[in-house]
Amino acid sequence: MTLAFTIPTLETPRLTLREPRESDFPAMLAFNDSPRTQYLGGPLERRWVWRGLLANIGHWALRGHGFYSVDTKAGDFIGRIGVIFHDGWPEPELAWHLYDSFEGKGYAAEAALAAKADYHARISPRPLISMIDVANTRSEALALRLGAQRETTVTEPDETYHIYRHPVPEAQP
Amino acid sequence: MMQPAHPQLIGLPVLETERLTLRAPQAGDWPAFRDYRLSPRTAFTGGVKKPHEAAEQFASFFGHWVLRGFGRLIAEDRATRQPIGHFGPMQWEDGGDIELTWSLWTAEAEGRGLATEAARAMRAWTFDSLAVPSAIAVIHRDNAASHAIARRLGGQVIEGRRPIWFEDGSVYSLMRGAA
Repeated sequence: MTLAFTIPTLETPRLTLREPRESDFPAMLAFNDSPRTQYLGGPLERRWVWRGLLANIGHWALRGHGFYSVDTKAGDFIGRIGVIFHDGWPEPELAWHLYDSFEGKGYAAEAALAAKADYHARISPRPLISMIDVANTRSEALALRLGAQRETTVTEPDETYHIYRHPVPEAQP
Repeated sequence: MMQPAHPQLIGLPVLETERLTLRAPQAGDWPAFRDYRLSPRTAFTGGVKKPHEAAEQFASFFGHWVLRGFGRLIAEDRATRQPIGHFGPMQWEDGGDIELTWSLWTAEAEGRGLATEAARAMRAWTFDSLAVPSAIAVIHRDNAASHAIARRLGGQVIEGRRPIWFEDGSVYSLMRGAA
């Protein structure tokens, strides 16, 4: 009753990207209940946060990639970063949720670059997108820091978001 | 391009009934599940979803097995080799009652007792495998076919208890060995 393969563990100088676990749930719930999810369609009801955790693990099962849970070397769980491509999504997306009090240290960029490199090495060389709410300027700043370029802006009935395109592996700085 | 090995889950049971095989969910079940989830058949279980929401629910079946060691099985019609529905115990994050669930994905699969056949096998597996004295089933008021299955499985309505998800419906108790 387990995955037929091992979710990789990625090490960066300050961080460890590892498989999602049930013990991640309280921090996911706290993030969901914070104002930070205003750009992510949240907050969601508690049970949908739980289902999101289950679905992340299932995404790994179905696609071989997904959200990593990110720890500092000291063991603090600081957020979830990875490449998500549920059916119905336009393209594989490099996405990041960084939790309160862990911002401003460059952690998100460090983890996102590791997750991106892992995706290109194991899954596909195709460049990734990030979809970012037009009001989410901090997330947009991170996309720019990662070398992404704004490709288009999409307006839907309930939201307006930019699509950023990340550089292909060969073009990385 | 690397794709995950198939099957994506290992160690899951395979249940054989007279006409059906209940086995692990797999990627190939997705189109049939998506069509079900986007059809009016889900009126009693949360309504029509956007495709990516349906995909998230489908993926959650896999994650539930990984974290809980039990979950939804897919019933496959042995005559046609087609998946016809999902059946299995589930539990929310609070570790509360184990809920037995059953869903047929198409109208064509109805009317032949297939859902009851699969649900009986799933019920038996649940109590054989999990150390719980009872489980529940949560059913919308207007879902007559599902109420009938709950009764055939020995379910008793828990008076006064209401589903959390919808305003009107019943919660059944299903006791180990009482089917």
